[in-house]
Amino acid sequence: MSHIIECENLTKKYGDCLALNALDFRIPDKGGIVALLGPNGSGKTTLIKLLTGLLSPTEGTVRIAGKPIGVETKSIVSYLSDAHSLNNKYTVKQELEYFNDFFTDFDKEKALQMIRELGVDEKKKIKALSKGTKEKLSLILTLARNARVFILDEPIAGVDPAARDYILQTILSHKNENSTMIISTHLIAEIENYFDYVLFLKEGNVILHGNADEIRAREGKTIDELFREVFRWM
Amino acid sequence: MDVKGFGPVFEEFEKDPQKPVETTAETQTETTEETATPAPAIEQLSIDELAPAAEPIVAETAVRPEFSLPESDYNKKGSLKKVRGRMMKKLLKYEFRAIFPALFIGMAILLGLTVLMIVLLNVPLNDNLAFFTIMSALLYVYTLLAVIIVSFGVAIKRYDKNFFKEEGYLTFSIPASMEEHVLAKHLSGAIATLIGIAASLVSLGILFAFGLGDVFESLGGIQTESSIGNPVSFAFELLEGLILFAESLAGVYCVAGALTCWGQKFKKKRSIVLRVLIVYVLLVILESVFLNLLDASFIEFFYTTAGTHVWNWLQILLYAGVIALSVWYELRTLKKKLNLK
Repeated sequence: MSHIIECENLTKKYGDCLALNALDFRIPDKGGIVALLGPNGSGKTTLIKLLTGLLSPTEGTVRIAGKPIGVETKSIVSYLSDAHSLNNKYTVKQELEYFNDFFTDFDKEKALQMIRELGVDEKKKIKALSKGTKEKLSLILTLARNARVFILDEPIAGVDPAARDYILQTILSHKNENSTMIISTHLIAEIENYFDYVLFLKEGNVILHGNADEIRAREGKTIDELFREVFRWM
Repeated sequence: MDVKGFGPVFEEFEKDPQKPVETTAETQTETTEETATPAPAIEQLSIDELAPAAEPIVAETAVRPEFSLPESDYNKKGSLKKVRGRMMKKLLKYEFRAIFPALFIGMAILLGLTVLMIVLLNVPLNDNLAFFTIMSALLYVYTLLAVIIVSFGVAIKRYDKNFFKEEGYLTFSIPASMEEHVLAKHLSGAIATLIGIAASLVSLGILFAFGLGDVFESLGGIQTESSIGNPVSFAFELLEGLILFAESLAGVYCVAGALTCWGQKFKKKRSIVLRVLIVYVLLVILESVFLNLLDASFIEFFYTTAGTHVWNWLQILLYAGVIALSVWYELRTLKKKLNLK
């Protein structure tokens, strides 16, 4: 079986601070939702940055679809950061064109349909949109790609419950069966039923990774309960 | 941290957090024996266990069709080109789209001021018009300079914003190499600056031709009087001048890019102007120290025809070195030391 993500001895240090400690894990290329769980400072964002090529490892290797992180892996990875990364000077339409130009797997029609459903005027400038709408637009643009790997960093953090529902529905309704979606989140309860795999990080170490259903069955707990108990004092 | 009751993986981890949890059969047996009421071993469920662990990584040639890059992106050896024309066109399109509005507004104002200056210089000067003429001339000079440097300002601001601010998350998720990103930034800035310089020269030419005819004629006289001397030497000087001009243009962008990369390391980011000034002062000091070290007769050599060429080529080499060093530092920072917040 091939693996979509392979980490071998993956280590990242910021000066003397060890952010990731020799991670070794593989995620099979079966599609599904992978939950990346862990408290603040556990290394989730560092791992995501390494997967997206925003950081380079201090030691070890990370591969996506058999390739080291680079231009090729970026062509199949659709990434939603936790920062507002859209160009404020562009209109919604221009931002759409930008994605369409640079990502060959971008489905413009799909994006347009989702934008219309959201009720956003395409001629409106990004800077004129509310924070919530900007986040929704970023999500739409990310999900409108026919990518093999989606990486969503805290997609539902810091948004109101209504926006959270919209985001979750959008994620779940536009998820491609053949793609792998890695979601980093603290808010497990709302989405936990959709997890196929979980990866628990603590202090830069993978302390658990496996099939979500199997873990629930063996532990007799939901992933949310497990998370709360494991990281109770963190 | 209380991890009791969550399987031996957590207990094992709790004993030594620095040690990665082993998912081997030995660890599993050992930890199970130690536990009075053993919970099912979570590590049994690891993906590696579920999937064949010794699965070989798929060969690179086999995975290539899965990536959404066209065949033209690869060289004959099958590796990805570092700079691809297809991607450069797209990157340059967005750079020009960002730089040109400011440049074209500047050029439009310059055109208006050029016409105004021609009119003012062709009407008889009187006390009422004198102040207005002087003010217009000052405005014209400032606009002339602005048209030359506006592209630089916009390009460097974009460099910082696109690479090191929040937009960096999107910039670096597009499937372009760092070489392509950097080249697109510098090339677009240099071309726009060149257009600005050309526009300024054309404006000055028009002004001299229609508004300052007398000055233009006297300049023409000077040109006629001056002797070109040795045509071969003149051709070389022209070539050296062109190379130095191209290097200066490229160098300004490369050094500014390198300084921006340097600046992103600091928590309190000093302004780009301050950093440029610091480097400029250091270069001036270095140059004066270098010249002082040289023997006076050696310096005199540089005032001869042969010496001028030697001096020019020394400068060309020096500039090339500065450009190479700057680009190396930029790429190293962007590839290895990127620090997006």
